[in-house]
Amino acid sequence: MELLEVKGLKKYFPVKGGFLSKTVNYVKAVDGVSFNVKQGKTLGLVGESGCGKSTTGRTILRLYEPTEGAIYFEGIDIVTLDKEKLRAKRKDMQIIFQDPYASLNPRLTAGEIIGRAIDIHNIARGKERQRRILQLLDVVGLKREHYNRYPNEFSGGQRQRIGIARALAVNPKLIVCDEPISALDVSIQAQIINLLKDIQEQFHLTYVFIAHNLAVVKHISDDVAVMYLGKIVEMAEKDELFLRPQHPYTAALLSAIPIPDPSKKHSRIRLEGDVPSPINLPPGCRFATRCPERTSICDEVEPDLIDIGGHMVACHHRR
Amino acid sequence: MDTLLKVNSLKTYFYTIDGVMPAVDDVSFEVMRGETLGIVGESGSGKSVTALSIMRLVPHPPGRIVGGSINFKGDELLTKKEYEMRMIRGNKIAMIFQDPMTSLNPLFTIGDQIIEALVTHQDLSRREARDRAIEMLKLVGIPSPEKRVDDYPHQMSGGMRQRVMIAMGLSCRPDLLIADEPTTALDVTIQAQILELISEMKQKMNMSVIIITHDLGVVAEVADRVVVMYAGRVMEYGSVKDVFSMPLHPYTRGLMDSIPKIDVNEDRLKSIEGTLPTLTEKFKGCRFKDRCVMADRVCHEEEPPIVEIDNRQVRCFKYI
Ligand SMILES: Nc1ncnc2c1ncn2[C@@H]1O[C@H](COP(=O)(O)OP(=O)(O)OP(=O)(O)O)[C@@H](O)[C@H]1O
Ligand SMILES: Nc1ncnc2c1ncn2[C@@H]1O[C@H](COP(=O)(O)OP(=O)(O)O)[C@@H](O)[C@H]1O
Ligand code: SF4
Ligand code: SF4
Ligand SMILES: [Mg+2]
Ligand SMILES: [Mg+2]
Repeated sequence: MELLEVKGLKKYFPVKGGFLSKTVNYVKAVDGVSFNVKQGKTLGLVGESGCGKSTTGRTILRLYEPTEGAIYFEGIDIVTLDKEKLRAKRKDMQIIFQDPYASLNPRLTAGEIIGRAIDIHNIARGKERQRRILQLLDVVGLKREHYNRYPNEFSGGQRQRIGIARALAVNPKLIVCDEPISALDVSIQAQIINLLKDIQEQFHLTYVFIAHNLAVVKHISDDVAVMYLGKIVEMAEKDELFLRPQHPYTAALLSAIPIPDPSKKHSRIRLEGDVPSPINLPPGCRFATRCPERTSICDEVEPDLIDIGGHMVACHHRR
Repeated sequence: MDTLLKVNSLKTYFYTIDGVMPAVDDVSFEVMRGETLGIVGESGSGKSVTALSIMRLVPHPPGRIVGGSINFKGDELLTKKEYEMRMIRGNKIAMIFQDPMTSLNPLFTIGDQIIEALVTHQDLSRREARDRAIEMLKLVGIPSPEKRVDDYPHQMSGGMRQRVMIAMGLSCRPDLLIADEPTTALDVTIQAQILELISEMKQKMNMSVIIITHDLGVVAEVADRVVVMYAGRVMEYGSVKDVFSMPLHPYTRGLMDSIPKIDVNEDRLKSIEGTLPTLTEKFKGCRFKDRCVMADRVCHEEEPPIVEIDNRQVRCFKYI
């Protein structure tokens, strides 16, 4: 069953300028993105900084109002919900942020942070609330004595655990994980990835997992979507995508990963040229400025994302 | 190959209200001419402080170099006067910092900043320096350098700023380039370009490089030898080939195991449980003991010395 269906999602941010602060242009952060995620599965969302991953993640939860498009959660388009109904739905959809430092209130203890989440949706009170907080601390691998500590007394990995406990507090169905491990050390990253996998199984969670590390995405995802400048350029089941990358950008991305094995010197696809500004997109394919396979049609016509057999690709030369 | 830099028993401590923090504690390594040395370890293990010590830029107070020696081209750096160090910094030893935005001055064009460095260190007129600046920007792959030279830092993307930093670092043709996490903030495709650029420049100028990173993949790709640091100590030191094919120290092994590999399917990642200890001078035992799966009684009581086996140095009781 599809838990989440995103159709033609767009999010444009106005660019103000001039002396009356008029809107002079738009950053097309997300520009027509569609995908589905099945109950209990993980969709990995990868791409370079600024390509619109976080904006996609936040817009799905309506933390940003979409400019266009539909977001079906359990069959209901949440874009059409009023404030009250949306608030109730939010309980089912949570987010874990990239920066464990900035995303926790420094004036609340770990226990209070989790408690607040429980209170907002009226999940439990009194003794039951207390029991639940302690249980959540345990689930994410923290100790009872951590209850009364403040965020600055925790390491980055531990703070991320608090963020995970906070998200779990309301029994969500979907969690958008926005680069939950990017700010952490390699040895700590593995701890958090394992934790996320464990709780997914335990609580039947569905994830949209955002990252720019492809190896991490491969490890945790069932399907993977590759974004470039606000669009999905390739999407497939993960083994398919990693074994047979189709889009030239995906291929370059895969070949750029440094491999921690000096005996494997791999050939690298060299990308020349610069990433165009999301305010001033080229008329044709958005990847054309850097693409080694570009031809004249690429500069004129924007390629659609189409199914070429178990594999969605947006490239004129993969048809 | 002759030795360019020899760091011997370096100790850099921080004197804070919580006590004395041995951030770099008895660290030794060498860098040969034309060689790339990688320094890896998790954040807080003392990598940046080691680099700042070589540059003699440790913030004082609270930090101070309290022991050891740093020999550069046969000269002791630790006894140099500040004005002598100023002639070495940026000229003979250049450093690229972790965050290019904080180390470029937002108020000046990138051209002015490179020209400033050149006029200070080299006997060049401003005209010549401007030409050299444009030449360097071209070398690091900035498109239309004669126009971009007048850009301010905020007008460039993260990758371009990092290139400017490299152009600036290389403009005086240093003998040693220290790059502190030069690609951590960048995307993989840009990272690949920057790493390639550093290797290319190194070859063209017969320069030595120290690259600091927590990405073992980066070390495997660019470095000849590697120092693995943990809590202020060198835990393992050897050629990249040896260390990666057979890591000896339990920490190095744990680090390797915790990286998700793109070419293997594993159900669960191996991880190193726990976190870096809080260091004080009175710390007892091996600094890795609380996270080490092989720790036994002696590890909690004494600290292992660093020993040499098969052309490699390792600090662990299992090898004594
Ligand atoms: N609130 C905002 N106002 C204006 N522009 C924004 C806003 N948030 C994001 N953008 C722009 O939208 C684009 C996409 O940003 P987004 O944060 O979604 O990228 P990302 O893929 O998550 O990148 P990263 O990997 O760096 O986190 C960028 O060009 C960004 O500058
Ligand atoms: N200015 C400072 N004052 C106090 N402690 C510092 C200072 N700079 C670094 N340290 C401490 O020194 C240790 C090593 O830091 P650093 O070399 O920056 O680590 P990394 O390996 O991440 O580069 C850390 O515990 C850090 O908190
Ligand atoms: S459409 Fe053209 S420019 Fe775009 S990815 Fe395909 S070949 Fe490259
Ligand atoms: S000395 Fe003991 S605790 Fe330290 S790394 Fe070796 S086995 Fe582990
Ligand atoms: Mg983001
Ligand atoms: Mg550092």
